[in-house]
Amino acid sequence: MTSRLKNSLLFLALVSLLAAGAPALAQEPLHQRIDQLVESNLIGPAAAIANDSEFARRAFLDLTGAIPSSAEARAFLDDPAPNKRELLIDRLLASPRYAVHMATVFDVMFMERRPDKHVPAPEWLKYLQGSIEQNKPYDQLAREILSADGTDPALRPAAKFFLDRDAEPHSSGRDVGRIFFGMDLQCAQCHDHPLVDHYLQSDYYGLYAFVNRTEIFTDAAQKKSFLAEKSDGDASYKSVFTGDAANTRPQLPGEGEIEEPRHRQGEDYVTAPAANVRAVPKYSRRAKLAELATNGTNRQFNVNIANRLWAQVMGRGLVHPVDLHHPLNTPSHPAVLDLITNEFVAQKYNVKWLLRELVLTRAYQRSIDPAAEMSSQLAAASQQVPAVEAEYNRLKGVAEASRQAANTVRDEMKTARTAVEPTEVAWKKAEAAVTEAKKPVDAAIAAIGKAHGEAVAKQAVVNAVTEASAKVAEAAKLLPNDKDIVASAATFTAKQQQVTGELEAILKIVTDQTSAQNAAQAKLVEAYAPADAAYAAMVEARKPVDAAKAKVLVVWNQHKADALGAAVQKKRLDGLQGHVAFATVVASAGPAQAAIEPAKVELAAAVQSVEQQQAELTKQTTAVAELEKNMTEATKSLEDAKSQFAAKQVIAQSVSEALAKSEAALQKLPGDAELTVIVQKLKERQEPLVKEASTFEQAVTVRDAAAKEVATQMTAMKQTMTTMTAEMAARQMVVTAKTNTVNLAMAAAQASLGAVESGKASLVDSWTSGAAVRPLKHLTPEQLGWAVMQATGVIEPQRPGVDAEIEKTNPKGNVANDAAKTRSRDFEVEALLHEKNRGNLNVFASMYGQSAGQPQDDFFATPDQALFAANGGSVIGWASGGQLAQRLNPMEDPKALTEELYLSLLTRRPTEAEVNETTRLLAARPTEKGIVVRDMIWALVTSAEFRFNH
Amino acid sequence: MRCDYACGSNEHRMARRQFLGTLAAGGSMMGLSALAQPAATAELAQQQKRVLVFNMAGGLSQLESWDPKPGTPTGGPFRAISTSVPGTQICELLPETAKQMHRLAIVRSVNTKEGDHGKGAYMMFTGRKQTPAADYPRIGAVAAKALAPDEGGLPGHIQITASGGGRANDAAYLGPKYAGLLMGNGQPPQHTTRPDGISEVSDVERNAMRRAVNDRFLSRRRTAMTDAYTYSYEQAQQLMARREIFDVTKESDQDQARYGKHDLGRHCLLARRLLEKGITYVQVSHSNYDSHNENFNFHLEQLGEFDHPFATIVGDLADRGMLESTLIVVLSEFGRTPNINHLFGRDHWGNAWSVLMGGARVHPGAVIGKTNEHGTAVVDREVDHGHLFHTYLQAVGVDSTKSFDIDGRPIPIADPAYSAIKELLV
Repeated sequence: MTSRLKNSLLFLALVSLLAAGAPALAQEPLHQRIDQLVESNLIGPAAAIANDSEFARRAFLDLTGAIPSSAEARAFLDDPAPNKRELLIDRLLASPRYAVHMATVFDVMFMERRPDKHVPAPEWLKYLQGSIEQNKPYDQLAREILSADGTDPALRPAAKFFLDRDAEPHSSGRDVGRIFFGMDLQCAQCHDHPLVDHYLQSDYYGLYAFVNRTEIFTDAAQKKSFLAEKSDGDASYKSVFTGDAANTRPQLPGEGEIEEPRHRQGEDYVTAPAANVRAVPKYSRRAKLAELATNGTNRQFNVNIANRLWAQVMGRGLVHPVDLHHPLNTPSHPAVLDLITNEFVAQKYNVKWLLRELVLTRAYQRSIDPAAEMSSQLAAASQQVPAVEAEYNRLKGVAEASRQAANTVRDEMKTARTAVEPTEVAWKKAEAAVTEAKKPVDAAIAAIGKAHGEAVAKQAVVNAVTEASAKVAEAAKLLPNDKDIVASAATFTAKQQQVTGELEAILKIVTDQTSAQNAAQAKLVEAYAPADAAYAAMVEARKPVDAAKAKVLVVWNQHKADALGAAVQKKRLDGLQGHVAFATVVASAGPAQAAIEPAKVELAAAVQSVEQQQAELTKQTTAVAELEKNMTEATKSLEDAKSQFAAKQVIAQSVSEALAKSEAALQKLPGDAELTVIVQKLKERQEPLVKEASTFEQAVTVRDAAAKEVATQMTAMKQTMTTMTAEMAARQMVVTAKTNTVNLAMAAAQASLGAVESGKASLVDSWTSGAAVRPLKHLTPEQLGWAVMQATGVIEPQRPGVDAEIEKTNPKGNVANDAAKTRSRDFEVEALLHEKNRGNLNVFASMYGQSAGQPQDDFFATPDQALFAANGGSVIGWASGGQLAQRLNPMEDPKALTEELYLSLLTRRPTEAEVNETTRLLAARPTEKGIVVRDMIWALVTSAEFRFNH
Repeated sequence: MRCDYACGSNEHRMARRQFLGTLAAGGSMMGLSALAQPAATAELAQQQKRVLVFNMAGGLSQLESWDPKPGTPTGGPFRAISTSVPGTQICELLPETAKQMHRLAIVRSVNTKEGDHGKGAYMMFTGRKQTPAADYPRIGAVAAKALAPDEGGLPGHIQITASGGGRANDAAYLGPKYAGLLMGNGQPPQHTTRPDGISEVSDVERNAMRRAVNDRFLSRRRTAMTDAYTYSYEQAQQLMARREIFDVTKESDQDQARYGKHDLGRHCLLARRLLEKGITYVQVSHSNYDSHNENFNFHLEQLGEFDHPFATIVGDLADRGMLESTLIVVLSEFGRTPNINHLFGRDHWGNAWSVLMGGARVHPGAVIGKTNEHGTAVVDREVDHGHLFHTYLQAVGVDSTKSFDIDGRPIPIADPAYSAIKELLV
């Protein structure tokens, strides 16, 4: 058994299982089934359900394009009914604003804010509003838009789609693809799509072929444009990359080329094209498009609108962007997309029903706050990865195999196609001969037509002249002598003959041309046969190609399904891996954070040891200083002793020298009394002197020893000092190292916190696209404009005037006892109120909307918008002069004032902090209350909370 | 202002009407993509790449400008003169520009095969043929998207036009954020002054309250959208504070005299000011070169006005060291026929004409391609709008072979069927 077959069996088994459970499932409303599918498929945690304020604001915006008034908000918030949300949804869907709002939604979807060309916006909006008010099924709406030609006044607005695109076939073909089938095939115009494998050039030209015969016809008399259509015109293309060329019949996305009737030239028009004549073919390709797209069987048509309605209320398509359906742009919930598509078709394209089911889901009602707790989901994710990964790899193989199979059969088809070319050429040639043969017929018909016109005119002349002639003849009889009259009678008779002759000549042209026509017609009929035969031959030759194409279609669709299967699995795998990666990031964030403390402790210890050493060093430095002082003193005292000793020695020396000289003299003069006395005295003097010097010498010795002692101490101390300094440096290096460790740990912790944050952000993104948390959805320019005007109170004051205007044509008194008529009148009032404010809405559209003709969903914010809000006259004027300001200004109690302010603008009661804030602002400028109120209104209107539907 | 010599073709009238329509529709708006952080340093400004485009609206004659053919039956009455590049001659109507040619380069082999004003302009500004099924962003929007600093905030794309204001509809799928801000006759953007009724205290307090409300809300959920939204208000305030960027009268009297007091002189000086203040793309329009009759008189007059301020801005950008980072392009929707018609005019001609470039990575003094003796055909290195578009972008360091990611759709920046004129880039 092949694995494919095994899968198919498995699938069948699954289907029968589901079918067995079907009766039970079918009992459950769609919204419950959606939630079961969404919630059974969740990878991360689901957000809580939004509170009443947020639900009310959201439901109002999504279903009516407006926000609740403060009274509506109070009533809803204070309503204790457990089913109040469902009641509100039903009330909003039944309100006249629903139709007005959804008409804008469809207008933007179909026309993408293009400037008006042939159908004025008010007519078009009226048509859409009326359609939605009567809850026209979407297939019917689409059928009307695709098929209307503008001639039926009731449906003329529906022709806007093609008319305002000037029926340009590339423009309309592309937009039919995007808007009705959710496939932006634009890049496949010149070659197979370079970036989307599953968009082929043949897909583009298949749609193009439906519309390329449609053209604009402008009626000169009415000065109005309509859609005309030719009965011929090929959709042929050649790839600028591969040179591969083909001619395609119309083909819907996912389907094969359609079979078409053939009408012979000359028999192919209900109204043949001619000057100032709108061509209407017997077989209209555009009408065929309308029929085939909307007959319920084209899956892509059905999926597109289901997805777009989902996106409309959910803020994001199951397939996103909504015009990029292809297997690798996987739906977030394939099963949900299938379910809502099938149910929507089963409910006969009931838009209101589907929207109701969607807004009843928990998926719709979730809060914008992502769930905080997700440990169990993270644990589960890692367990699932291996199986999902294995399954993905298997499916990838399957998809690759079917791709190759598709390539093979496509090559076979292309080869087969070459055999048809000669028969196509032969047929075209035969058709060209028919065209030639038809020319004399056309010429004769034209000549007959012209002659007929002339004959009618001439006949009138003949009649007039004949009548006049008879009258003048009568007068001539009565006045036979009046020369002038008689002459006139003759002139008239001559004139009568002349014009009668002219008429006959014209009638002869008719006769001649009629026989010419008959002759030409006979030749034309002769030319039909070869063309018929050539066509039959071509059709015959095409049969194998058509068979090959059918095979390509089957295999290609199988490949697309396989590619989708693989992509779905890949998406799940990515989601799981994202959660696993996040768990890893979170897991490493803890230790990274924890590593900081021990490193800090070690650093502190190192710092402490440096400090200790510093203290020791300080002590040592003091001791060294002390010792240095001692050393200075010892050196000084040694030097003192030395100089004293030296001084004494000098004296002793000189006494000794004097004694020696005196004794020498005494020996030469022995007994000289005086000399003897001198010697005696000198001897007496010398002795104490020597003694004294010796004492000083001793002191020198002692002090020298002391100085040496201090020097020794000094050397030792300096050595200690060196050791201690080295120790200090070592300890300081430890501190540096530890500081580094701490810094690294802190950086690592910071990085992992950053990783946690960005990981969380991308998880929140995945939860958002997985409908597990509510996205922030920017208000469309129309919602923003309406909400600002409505909340500041510039809409309601217009209502009495608008009502009075409606009263002229539809008095209240006439409808009072008829609920349906009352409802219809309310709708008229609401529609007119909207129309009266369209100018202001257009200002918002051009300021906050995307460029005309581009997809309109993307958000952007520019300073010129902010400057418009901050300094432009509109918003400031409404904030200061609207009914809201008028309500707030007389309010004495700041608390009550703040509550009214917040309920009016943000649909919620203020927090205590917010009350304090406004109270402070009001108190700070007591004489400027009006200004403060205006500024507070402005601040809330320009806040992100107002700008985003949350 | 009526332009008698311009062609009266339907397309031309239409294009003109659409143009005026755009201006009128934009009249009540103002368009700014973003505005600069005051902290943007001079150094950063040096590194930032810029583009200055002169749109010679109506179709400048290549024969009376960059590719003269004097003394031939198609050459017209004017002489060719030598330039600062030995061997390169241009028309004598551009004597000042001739002295700057060592900083500029000429592509003389442009063949766009398009003689329709609207289609030709579309091709030259988008690098693609106009097709009903798609709209492509103009070069200014592409430059703003690719080059304008994200964290900056000054508008990335400014067009100095004859009149009007607001936001052009020329960014296609890149979105209005990159659309051209139109400075009609050099007027500063709208709504950049506080209205009389809002005192400074009010402005401070209302913004403080707005921020406080935002902080509470955004502490719950912040996204790229909410960031862009709240940032747009900060940008608006900065823009108001830096409004003088747009005020050419703040330039010195001497410079105003140097550039000339006429509109084009003022617009060129404003262009210099904007480029110096960090605007990425500035476009100056000079109109109207659609000289179906009296081609020579009109070129004498028009280029007489153009030559001096153009040469001045080229010299100034070079002197200020900005030329290395600023691409200069002088283009039209097409050139003009070699054939001189019976009204002494030249008609629409897309088959052999010239575009002037300079600065950034453009090889100074280069001359690319050649036309034949009478200028009736390209004989060497034929290029068209597609090659030029790639070249402009690569000259300012944008890899034009890459794609923009537009909300999940990758869209090639420039037509992948073409490549840049490599030898023109250094």
